[in-house]
Amino acid sequence: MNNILEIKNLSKNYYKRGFFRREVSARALDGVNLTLTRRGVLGLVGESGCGKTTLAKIILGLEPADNGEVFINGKNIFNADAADKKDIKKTLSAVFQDTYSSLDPRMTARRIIAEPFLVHGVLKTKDEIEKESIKLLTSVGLSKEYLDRYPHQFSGGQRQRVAVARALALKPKILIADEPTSALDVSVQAQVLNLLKDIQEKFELSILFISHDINAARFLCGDIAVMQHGQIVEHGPANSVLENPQTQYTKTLLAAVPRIFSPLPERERAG
Amino acid sequence: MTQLLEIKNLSVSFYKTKVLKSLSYNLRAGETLSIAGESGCGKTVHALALMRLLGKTARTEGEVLFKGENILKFNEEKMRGMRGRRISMIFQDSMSSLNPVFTVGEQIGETLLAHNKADKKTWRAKTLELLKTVEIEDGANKINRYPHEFSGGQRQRIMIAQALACEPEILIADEPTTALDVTIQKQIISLLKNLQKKRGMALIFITHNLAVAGELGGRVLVLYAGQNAEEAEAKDIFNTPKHPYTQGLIAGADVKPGLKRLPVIEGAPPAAGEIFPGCPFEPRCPKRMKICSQKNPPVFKAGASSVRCFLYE
Repeated sequence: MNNILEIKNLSKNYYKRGFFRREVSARALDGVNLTLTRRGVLGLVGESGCGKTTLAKIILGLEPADNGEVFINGKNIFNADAADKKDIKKTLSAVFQDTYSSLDPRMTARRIIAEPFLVHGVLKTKDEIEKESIKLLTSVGLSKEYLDRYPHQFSGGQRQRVAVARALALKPKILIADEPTSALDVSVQAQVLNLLKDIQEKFELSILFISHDINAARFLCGDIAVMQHGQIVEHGPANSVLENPQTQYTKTLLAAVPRIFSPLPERERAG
Repeated sequence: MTQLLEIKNLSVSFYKTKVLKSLSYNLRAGETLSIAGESGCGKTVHALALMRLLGKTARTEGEVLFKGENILKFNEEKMRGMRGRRISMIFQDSMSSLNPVFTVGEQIGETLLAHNKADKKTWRAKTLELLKTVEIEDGANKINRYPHEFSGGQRQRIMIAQALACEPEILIADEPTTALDVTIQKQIISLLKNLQKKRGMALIFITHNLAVAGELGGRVLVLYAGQNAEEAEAKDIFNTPKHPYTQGLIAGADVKPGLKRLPVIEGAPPAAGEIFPGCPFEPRCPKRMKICSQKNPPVFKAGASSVRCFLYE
């Protein structure tokens, strides 16, 4: 099977709570179909409030869905038994936008990276964990001297590297990266994008890259899906979506990217 | 050509931390200047210094000449007549800059009343006119609404209306589009561009995104570690960037299809106030020379650009 992640007809509403009835206050996802191929990178782009993060949360099991199905390795994650669920959790990992809130400020990098090992009981002895942690840190471009630092002692880019190291700890197959570069300094964003590309190849990951930065998606992603009001309005290979957009919304989105670096071809730029 | 604003060796320090190091630039009436830099480079502190909005812990040195008068020497009463009237400012976070318990009409009207640009009879009509200027439809209905009833882009428009109320000669926009989506960002930028052209006011646009500065046009001043790295016309910055830092930023942002790796600037920007014996960019610079770690370069002329880099000595 070539698709590691399949999302079928997924819907999610957020409700306003009333006394006697529930009112739909936001239709976060509205019949979303998406597939992530094995070792593929799928970019999910769209503006804030379009449902990108809701989708990530549902895949990660952090939010229930109203309707639809999510398959990981062919298994429906909504009716998986306990053993399957544990497997799924090892298969999936995530990196978020805000590293300050996704890394515990009271833990050193050593503990942050070791936690997945302890929770899943993968490695038990201190030596094994230490060795593996150093290996992970090196693979994200940090040296072992950083092991005993706390999150606030890292720069923004380095903190994101620690978060990536932790995400890789259990050798996941799928990485959900929700706006991993948005909070970083401009001159550091490219470093983290390169890192994601490197680890994707090295760890043979499939990545769902959620971003509003179309240039970042263009660099990293083989496929791109454009989301608007909880629906996928366009989905296809990055080149065709970006060079030859079919829907008005994608065109508007591309046209809004500041012109100097606009991914639109020359003739469109002139118009 | 007469200068509207001349900034000479403006430095700001908080206790022993020098955040802004001897910044100088000029601004002509009606001109657009984008100030681009990363977090901690001093771009917002510089704007607050111009508005004299820094707290008592900040020590400001140098001169800020507005039409030849040093506003750093103004007393508070005189300064109150400047703020909002001659120099206005809009901020990134419109939700915290607007008061949640007053209607937007009251808040725009307040500016008019405070500067005697309107009285109790005329403020409403003038406020409606301002809402129209910033392209908010159905102003008569919107004027009685509260900030939370508007979207982020609409709120930013209301802030612009408020800032324009007294027809200032300079508008400082501090990252006004950073919290917005790209499509809304484009609208706000074109609104600012139009208003600036129509009203002939000077615009200082602060951003961390060089591409946005390019979209705006005019002149661009790139800040790094509290000092100017490069100053040039927008088109020159993008076509022939001079400073290695600017070169790196532009190379990293210009993504071509099929690119295997993004060109990067190694390392991270320094924390605010970090002290360097030489050029602050030297630790990250791919073109560093021996002299770079010993002396902070002065500003050199390179064609039409000004660059703080020994490569152009």
